[in-house]
Amino acid sequence: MTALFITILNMSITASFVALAVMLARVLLKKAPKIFSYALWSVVLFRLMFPFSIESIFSFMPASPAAIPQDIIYSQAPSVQTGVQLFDIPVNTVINNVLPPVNPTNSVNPIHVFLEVAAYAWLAGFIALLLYAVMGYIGLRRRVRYATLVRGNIFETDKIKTPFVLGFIRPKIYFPLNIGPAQQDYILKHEQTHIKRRDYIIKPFAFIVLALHWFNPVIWISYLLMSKDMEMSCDEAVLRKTNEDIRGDYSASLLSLSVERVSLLNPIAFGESNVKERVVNVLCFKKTAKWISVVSFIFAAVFLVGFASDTAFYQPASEQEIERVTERFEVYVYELHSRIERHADTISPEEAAAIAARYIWDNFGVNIDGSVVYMTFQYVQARMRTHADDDATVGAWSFLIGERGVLTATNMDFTFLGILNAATGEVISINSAGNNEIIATVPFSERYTHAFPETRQILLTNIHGIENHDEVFEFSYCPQTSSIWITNTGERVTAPLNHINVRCADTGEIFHIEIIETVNDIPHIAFFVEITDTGRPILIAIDNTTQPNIIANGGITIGMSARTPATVAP
Amino acid sequence: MENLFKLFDAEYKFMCIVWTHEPVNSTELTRICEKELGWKKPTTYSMIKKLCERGIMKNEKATVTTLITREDVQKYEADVFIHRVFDGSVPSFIASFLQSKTLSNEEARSIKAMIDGVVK
Repeated sequence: MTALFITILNMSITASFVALAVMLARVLLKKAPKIFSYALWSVVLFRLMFPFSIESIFSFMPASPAAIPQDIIYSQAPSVQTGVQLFDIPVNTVINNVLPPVNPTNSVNPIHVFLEVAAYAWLAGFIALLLYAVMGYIGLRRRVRYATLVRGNIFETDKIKTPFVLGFIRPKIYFPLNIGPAQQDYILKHEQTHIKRRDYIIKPFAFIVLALHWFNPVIWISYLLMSKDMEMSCDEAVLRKTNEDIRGDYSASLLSLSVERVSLLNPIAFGESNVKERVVNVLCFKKTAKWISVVSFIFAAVFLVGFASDTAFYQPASEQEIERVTERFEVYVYELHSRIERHADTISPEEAAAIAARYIWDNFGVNIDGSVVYMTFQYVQARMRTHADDDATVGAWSFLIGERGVLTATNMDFTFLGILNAATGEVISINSAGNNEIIATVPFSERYTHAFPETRQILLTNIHGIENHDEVFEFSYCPQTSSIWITNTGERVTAPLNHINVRCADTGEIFHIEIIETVNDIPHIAFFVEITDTGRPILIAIDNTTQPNIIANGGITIGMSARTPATVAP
Repeated sequence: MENLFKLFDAEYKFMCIVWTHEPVNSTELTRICEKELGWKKPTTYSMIKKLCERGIMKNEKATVTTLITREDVQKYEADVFIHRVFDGSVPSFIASFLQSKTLSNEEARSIKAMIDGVVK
């Protein structure tokens, strides 16, 4: 539920930007036929319904389609990143001030709780609005139940005040009694235009979408404006089709048949409450010059394409993005450690996770200087003293951000987590099940060398991969982490998991990395990095864990880098 | 039972059909209503039921007959109208009616005869 809600929130944010753009564009299109304004709303509708879109360089979108990361519920410092500072900064300030600070020893994060509660509130609101709409529809149906046939699909009844169209499959036009034949003629044209344009389906459908986004006032305004544009463009269509000047009569009909807005989900009624504006529009109606229509058409088309597609994601990462990735790294280590701890007998996984979280927070979260985001992850050899066997040499993962990192080691009979100081090679034990202790006598650089005896290969695999070999790096991809960083010579690329591309430094070619495996509906990726004799890594994506395909070859380094690219030293 | 004769537009149109065709088989009636009023079968049946409950018509052995006449309804509507618009004053109603109309001798005579008939 929370995941769905976050998706809705993201769509809502993206769509709000587009909606605001449409509102601006409507001002520009003021003199143009209203049909163009009406058409523009389709892109808002699209954004409200689809969490993804096509990426193109030809995009006006200022905002990222995934402003709220799905892993925000695990985040130590939750934040929203639309890419629009004007929006992000106030929103994030609110998030940070309203929510209690994350306490790593608690099992759940405050934002997690908050989002879960909000998700249910959202669902309740959605259902309530749908029920309201259905009841309204049934009520209206009942009201026109005994309406009597005039001709074709036109019915009349004394129970309604204004004409409207109702029905989904075979829509009918309902007239109140006592409408003069002259009025009847162009009201009929108006309603028939609605039917021809399928407005009787579009409007209820738009309402359902609105109900999904009921918490967003921008969408409410959009809905009202869209209804208005829909009506005005229909008015114009009638005036355009009629040869003599009926502007006065038509406005009079609008006035005499205007109704108070009784229901939010009006059927497409003739006399809706924005009558004043419609009368002005009708009275000012002139048959539009051809060139205005052409210019408007081009404008609308460019607008629609520009806002339907997302900006291609090759762009320099912001400081916030760098921080976000750092955070994800922490989440990863946290996860990793709790997995390791599951095998320990002396300490419960919850305790171990809480301890790890606190240390990681202290050592990564709080102290990290925004500029330090260099991370390397390596499989190293560490000499350990275990209770069973002194001076055992074990394989361990090390994760480094700058000079600091976490070392985790696991074996059949023990687990270990320590804070690593890369400069001194010192390891401070955080927690060690089975009274084990790392003897931090080997300088880190030495260990570094040990890590790459012969094959110099890094295997990145999903968390369920069990590759555990001295010659192979293993990197587990955190299920909550939805992005990975791949850098080449200083240029950073960050992307959601389903959008990973690698740019080859030599040729400039861009390769897409396929998601090759799904575990519990969460996509995972796996790929190799092999270091060649020249010391340059080759990236190999594997479409299954046994058959590697080389998809990129060139100066690609793996890791995270703010200014200096991470290098995987041979 | 004053409101026995108070009919909505749809009810009145429906009654007109029944007055014209009664006694009428209810299946036949649904056929006529479908053609004349655009009603589906259930709509006609529920209308019959509603009017039967009000005692305006009856449906026995699938034969529909009315219990009130067209004149009853017209009289009721005329009364309501005169009452509402002319404060119940028949002369002012007729005055207003005659203002915009010219009557032929024939018409005038028949109206006069009507008036004589009701004078006590």
